[in-house]
Amino acid sequence: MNVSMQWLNDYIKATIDPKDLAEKFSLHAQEVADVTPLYQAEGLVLGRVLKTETIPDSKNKKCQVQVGDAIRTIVCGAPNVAAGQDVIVADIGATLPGGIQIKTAKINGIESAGMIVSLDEIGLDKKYHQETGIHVLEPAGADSLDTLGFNDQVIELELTPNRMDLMSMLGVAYEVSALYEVPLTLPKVTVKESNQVNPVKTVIDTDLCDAYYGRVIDDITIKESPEWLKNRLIAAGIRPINNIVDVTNYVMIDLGQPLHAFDLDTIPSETIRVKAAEADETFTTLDGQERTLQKGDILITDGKKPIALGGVMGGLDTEVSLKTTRVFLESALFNATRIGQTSRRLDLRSEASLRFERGIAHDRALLALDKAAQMMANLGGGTVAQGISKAERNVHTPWDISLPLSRVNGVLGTALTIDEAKQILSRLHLDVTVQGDVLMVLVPVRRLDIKTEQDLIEEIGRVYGYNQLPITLPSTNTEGGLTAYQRKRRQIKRHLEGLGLFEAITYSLTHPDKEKGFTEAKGTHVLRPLSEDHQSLRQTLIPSLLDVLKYHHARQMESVHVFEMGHVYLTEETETLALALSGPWHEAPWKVARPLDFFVLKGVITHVLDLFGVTATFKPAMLPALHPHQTAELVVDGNVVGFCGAVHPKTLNAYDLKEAFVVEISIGKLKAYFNEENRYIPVSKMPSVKRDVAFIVDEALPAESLIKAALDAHVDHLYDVEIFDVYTGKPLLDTEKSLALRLYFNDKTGTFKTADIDRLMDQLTAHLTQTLNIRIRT
Amino acid sequence: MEAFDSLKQSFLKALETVFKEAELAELKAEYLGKKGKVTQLMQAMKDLSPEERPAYGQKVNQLKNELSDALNAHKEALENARIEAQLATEKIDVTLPGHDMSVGSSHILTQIVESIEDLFIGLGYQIKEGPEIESDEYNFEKLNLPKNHPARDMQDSFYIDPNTLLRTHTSPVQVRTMLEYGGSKPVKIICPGKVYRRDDDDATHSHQFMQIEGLVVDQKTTMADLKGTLLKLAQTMFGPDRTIRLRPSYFPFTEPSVEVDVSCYNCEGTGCSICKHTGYIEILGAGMVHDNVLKMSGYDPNVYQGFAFGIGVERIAMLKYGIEDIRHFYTNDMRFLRMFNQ
Ligand SMILES: [Zn+2]
Repeated sequence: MNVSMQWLNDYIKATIDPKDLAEKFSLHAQEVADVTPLYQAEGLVLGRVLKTETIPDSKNKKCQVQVGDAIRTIVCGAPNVAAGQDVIVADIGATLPGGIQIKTAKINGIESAGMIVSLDEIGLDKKYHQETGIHVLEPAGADSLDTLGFNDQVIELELTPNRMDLMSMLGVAYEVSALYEVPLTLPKVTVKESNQVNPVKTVIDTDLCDAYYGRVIDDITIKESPEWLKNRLIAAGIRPINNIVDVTNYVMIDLGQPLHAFDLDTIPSETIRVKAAEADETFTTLDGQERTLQKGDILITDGKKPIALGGVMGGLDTEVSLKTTRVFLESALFNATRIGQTSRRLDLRSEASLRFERGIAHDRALLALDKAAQMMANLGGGTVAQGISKAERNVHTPWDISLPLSRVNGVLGTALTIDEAKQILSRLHLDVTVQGDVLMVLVPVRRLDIKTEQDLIEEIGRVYGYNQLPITLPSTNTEGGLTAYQRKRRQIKRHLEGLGLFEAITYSLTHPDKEKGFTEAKGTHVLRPLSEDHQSLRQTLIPSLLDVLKYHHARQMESVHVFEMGHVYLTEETETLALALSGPWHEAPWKVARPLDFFVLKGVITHVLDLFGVTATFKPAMLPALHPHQTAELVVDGNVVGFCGAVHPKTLNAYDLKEAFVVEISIGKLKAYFNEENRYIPVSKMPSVKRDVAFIVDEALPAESLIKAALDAHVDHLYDVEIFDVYTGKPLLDTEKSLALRLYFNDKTGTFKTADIDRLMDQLTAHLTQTLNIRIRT
Repeated sequence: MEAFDSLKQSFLKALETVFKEAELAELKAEYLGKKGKVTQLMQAMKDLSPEERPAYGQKVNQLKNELSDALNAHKEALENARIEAQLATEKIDVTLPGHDMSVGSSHILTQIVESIEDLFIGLGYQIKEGPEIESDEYNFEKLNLPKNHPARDMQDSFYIDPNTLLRTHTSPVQVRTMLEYGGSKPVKIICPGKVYRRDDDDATHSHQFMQIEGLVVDQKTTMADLKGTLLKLAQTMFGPDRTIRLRPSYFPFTEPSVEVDVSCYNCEGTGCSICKHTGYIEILGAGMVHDNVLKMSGYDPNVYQGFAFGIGVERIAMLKYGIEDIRHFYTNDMRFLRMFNQ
């Protein structure tokens, strides 16, 4: 909503600085986007062209122009300049848009003092006019440019959907009156009716129309509107068309009531009926488009055929044209929801439909009708016929709300007295009486947003000023803290960061093709994606992390180690942790000894699982996007909780990578095994004994199964087993390998003799050679 | 006595020619060994008279000690020379870079979320989380946004089906918590998480972003409490000297609703390009919980009232660090991420 300061002055006589008003509005009412002059030009004055002379060998004319009491000679190149015109002169010292300074200049050898300007030259956007040449003020005879609105200031309000009452100049004036505590001059309209009787009857056949009023204006002449009216419309952001259409728009902005003008001579009947459309009914709107209607769109008809799509757009056949002499002016109250639906569906949202959709002050429909009818008569040289066409179904009347003062102070945290609260509401021109500690408020129909106690508390709060509220903290005493899992999540992140990984956060929406090879399921799609790349919900974080690696590789950064914790959307939404590693890690580039490999990755995974208090087995597995012989599933208690491995060369290719190792662990699944308890077991005071033994085993035997078998043998005092060497080659067969175990023994109650250990070792090797197909390497 | 001197001189002369530790042992045997020359001198003592013996013995022992000392000194000198020669071969360039043990970094958005969480934990809040795929009922309807509500335009959303969407705010977590608490105990929570809106990505818009919402519901929760809470938040994020300013706004789920500005940390309120010459920067939206929202989540608005606020994490980071493009947060450039690892 754009507020013209000059227009506001119709209702608020007090002098108000636009910048100050903008500040007050933003702190107490609604956000203000901007305060700007209507024309970005300074130093414009009214001029009257007294005489024009042609200049030899030039298209320019030498003009004598009266500016105030002075007569100026101005050379003007516009073909339309002529004696007798009132024009806009950019005086010496004036500034035009783009910083153009007007100075005395010699043109065609003539000293030219100033410039007669066009609308383009003073910065009027082409969407508001189609003029070429200088602008000629119509009608001539104005006192100054000020009264015509050329020096107006415009405040641009950004209205929230609840404040429909501010979608009119009168509504804004109510608010200004409240904020500045200054009087409001209410509009008064007197209609001079002619002897002609308004012949039109109106009938409402649907609940979707609360009231339908009309007047007839006879003998009007369609022409351009006067300068002041055009400037007010331009300030409101509306393009001037002709006097009749302009008046409907003007009164809509003025009072908030949309109006529609029909050429009465194009309507064959004298009865206008409002009805709900049938499904698939068609109607040609005034933009020439045939519209297919839905059941319940509101139609204005001449009794037989439609003449307007109520509240949304008029009809082509009944549109006001240059030939129009009789106007039927409609002022109606239509159903807000229905107008919203129809205008959205047909993509015909307008200033009018917006106002209907947000809600109209019912008590202004007749005021607007009268004001517009009289203005049309005045501007079009016509007369207003006697009587109003009237049909009413459900016209709002004011409603009561009782508001206990305790609730006001209880919500705001204030200590307002009942008189203070009453005074604040009275400033808003609400009718307030006090009964004990309760405010009884009669809400006028223009404030459709005030329906509840809470609505009134908001009014009191904002007018009083939120910045005057005390500053306190809630008295509620509750125990704050992270849950065990939230603490664990932070711990895992800190550990990974400590290990040198960077946390990434990537988009949840992806393309399902990117997930092929990592997951079998097809992603869940969103209905109206914004782009191909973001059309489905991801089921794995890994492709996003590979994109991060790709980004860095493309920029010559080849050591990249990242992780992300985020949701994936499988049959249900769960949290996962994914890592992607590429390039040497914890090495100095000038002495890389240990390239990144699967076992670096495995070390990190084991670290994370340790934090969860979980031990997983790594079971060889296959995933199409990963290396067929360097991939494992993570199995905890028989359940697969994740996978890890080297990325397949073809996948690497797709990301322009040379190597990458990835893991994804379902935190959702792991949570079931999550162990937060630390337990104390006394540290043994006795020395441990270490023994090594190597076995020749089948090449395919997983190392982990040998370790597991050794621990499962339950040999006394054996507490740890590790693999310290893996050997293949001569003299072993191709199908064999050697795995060397290091075994740790400890007896908390005593020391070992060599014979004791020998006995335990024999027991262990016997168990292993019997249960597995292996032999000791001697 | 001349025998003693000549023995010593010949030993010292021999010692000077020894350059290997192994040869020292031979020399030691030759003079000080069981059959060595000094030992032989000792054996000569038996030919002396008992009166002469003690003085002689003392002299032999003195000689033995002198030779021993000389030998040990020479041995140590050889050893030192050997070690030094070895160390010389181990010379390195200490200016070469060390192994890359540098720490990584948590994402800047995580850091801001965690710092806000920590502030509110200190104030007695719990952290509540919820799903990102939500029902229309929890995301909109129970927040006083029935279907066809005009404000639904304000947050165009990614629907999966007519009743399911990617949440547009973390408010549904508040609804879930109130329902879980059953309308009979105070609520004091913050809800961080990812949210989604159908905005084309550009420098200031992102279809995915991080939000933190807060909710307090109790019998005496006031708007003044909201103000105090938001002031703490603003000061934690932007410095202890910050003030806040509340301006009226509209959200369907709160009434009164406000936009909250923080005094500009750059110009201290005098006006600069960061605050668009207003002295204030808009940082979040807040308000008193709408009665309808309380009712729909099982709280009696005649008994309970509450406040809620919502803050965009990216926006805070952008303001705090002067980051000019929201897309940087989702590019994950390590050079960017590393800037926030202190
Ligand atoms: Zn500033």
